[in-house]
Amino acid sequence: MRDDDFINLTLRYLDRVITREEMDMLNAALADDAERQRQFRELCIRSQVMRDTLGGRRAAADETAALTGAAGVAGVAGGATEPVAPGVARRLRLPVRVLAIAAAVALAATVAVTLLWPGVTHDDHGGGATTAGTGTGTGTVTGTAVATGGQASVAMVADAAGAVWGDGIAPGMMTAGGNLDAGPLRLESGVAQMMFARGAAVTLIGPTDVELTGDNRCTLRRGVLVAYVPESAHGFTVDVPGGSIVDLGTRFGVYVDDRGVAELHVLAGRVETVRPTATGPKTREITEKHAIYFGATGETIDAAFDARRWTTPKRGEPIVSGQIVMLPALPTSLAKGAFENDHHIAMFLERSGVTLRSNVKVTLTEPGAYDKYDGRGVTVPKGTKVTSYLLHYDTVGGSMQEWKFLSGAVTFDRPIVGVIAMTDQLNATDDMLGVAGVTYREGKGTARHLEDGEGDRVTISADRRTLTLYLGTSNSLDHVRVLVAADADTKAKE
Amino acid sequence: MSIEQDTIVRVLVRDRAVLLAYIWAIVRDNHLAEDILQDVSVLAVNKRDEITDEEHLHGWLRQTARYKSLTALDKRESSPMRLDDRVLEALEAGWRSESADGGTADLVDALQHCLGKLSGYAKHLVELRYAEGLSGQKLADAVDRNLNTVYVALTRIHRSLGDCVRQQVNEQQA
Repeated sequence: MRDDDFINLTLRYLDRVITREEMDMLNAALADDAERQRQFRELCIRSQVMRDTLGGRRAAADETAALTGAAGVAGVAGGATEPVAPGVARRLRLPVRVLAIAAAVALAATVAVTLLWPGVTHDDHGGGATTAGTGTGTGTVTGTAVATGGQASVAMVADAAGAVWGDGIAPGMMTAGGNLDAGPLRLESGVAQMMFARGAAVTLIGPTDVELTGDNRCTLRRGVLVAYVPESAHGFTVDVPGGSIVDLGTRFGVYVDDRGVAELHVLAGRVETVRPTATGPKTREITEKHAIYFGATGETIDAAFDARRWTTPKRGEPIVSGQIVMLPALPTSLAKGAFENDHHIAMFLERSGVTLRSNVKVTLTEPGAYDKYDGRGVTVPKGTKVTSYLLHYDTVGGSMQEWKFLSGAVTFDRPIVGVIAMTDQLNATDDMLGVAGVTYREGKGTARHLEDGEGDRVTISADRRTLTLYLGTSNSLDHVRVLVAADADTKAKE
Repeated sequence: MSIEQDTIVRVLVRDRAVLLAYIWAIVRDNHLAEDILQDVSVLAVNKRDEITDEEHLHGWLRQTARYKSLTALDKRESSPMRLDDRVLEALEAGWRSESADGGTADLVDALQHCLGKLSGYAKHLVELRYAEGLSGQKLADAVDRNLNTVYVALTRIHRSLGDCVRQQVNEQQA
């Protein structure tokens, strides 16, 4: 058998498009030939690494769909390929992306086992070990946390497939198993998971700025962090602008916005907030299924608990973070007053893979940070294939005297081709890109645009995949329609 | 003397890609492979008193993963096509040496270089197969070719990547 024939058979086997006869040939080729066995292993490992490094977000979903009967027979039409059994329900997963080996191991530790990392001295008073004087979370560490071998590692990368890092960190520097020293990390987009040396498993959702300050401690300056803390890591501490969040045996999520306000949701167990005052530290205990805002000056205010905010996105769906929540279906009306919420910006998928039947005027197309929208208009040409999403923010009641601000980010797996943020442009695209039967406005005069100079800020990332929003409303509502490329070619050309 | 938990974690995280590839080669379903590896990981921690050292752990992980993979395959498919037991056994020793190579960091670097050298169509096919997750007839439909043509193209791509990666890794290690 030629090498190419062997590779072809192996690929067909791995992709489940192999016939019984071909399967027999593959088994025969592998049985007693060490070189073929090496080629087989090499191809399996290379394929796995390509899935990891290229994202592969839909791979498992497709294979699962095939296995669970959606496709019936996965393979060559008319060929006697592999039969597939009817569906077996998938078990529920922890809200941890991809493979949470580290988290699974950490959570499996039912006895208080301390993970001793080489060269790290433990401090059992909550803050964990410290390195280079950064234990308070206020120290300055230059460079990044990617291990250089010059100091003790404080954490380990568990999974960073598809993550985009800032500060000159190439994806290859953040491979699973890599050590992380104390220091800052900027996750521009995507999801990354790391395990601290004491066992705390942490998921970051970009854009996020974090600084690793010890084997059981970090500082969250901006963005989203979800922590799963086993017994061995009790006391795991996240420093935020207003103070510290100390684990008392728990899972929790924290979001820090650009103003330094932290929003803390306790998913399980208990958490303590600590804020420094002139008379000593003040603490507050937050219990399961409760949430607070933790202001930049240390004040705490109750917030609405929402577990949906901290689940990891499903494969193939946009990665939302911060105060944006992706909801499964649109309500019948998104007109002013019909779908109000003070705690999150609702995001909806409107239309998938729609081909624009005419030129469409949008507000923004280019990467950059924006706070003025009036007068902007760029045309997305007829024939462009897009998927449209709508972001909706309408505060409860609403008065000119009371402005409320929410923020967050969403990362798509394809580039953004246009952002519509002006009322006339929104109105003009409701029919083509909106969902039939949904009321988007009560009349043409209803304002639903982002306003110049009123605090509404939009950022499109350099790779056009991440949209960051900071929205303020009083007595009007904000709508942002996002057009994302839906053509496979568009992604391939990136 | 039993193995320490941090050794288990380090091995699991460092060898994640190889272990997943090992399981995937049997079950050929990413999600199922991840579930099985997660189960095996937890089991390794719970059974660490029975695991003596890192060498023992490597064998234990593969043996457990293989058993769980075959059991899962039997549960999910009425007549699964699978590699013969003697083939799985023959492949076994080589999987250990893949793990002993210290993770896949070199391979990641080499692949990044080698993927960049592919032609436009080959890159497109790789993107559809490994980033988009299309396979079989769906992949063929996406590029408007027949299935055999697509798998011939994928074969050439993998042969070319294999040659390029080996050369790159050798250069890195030289």
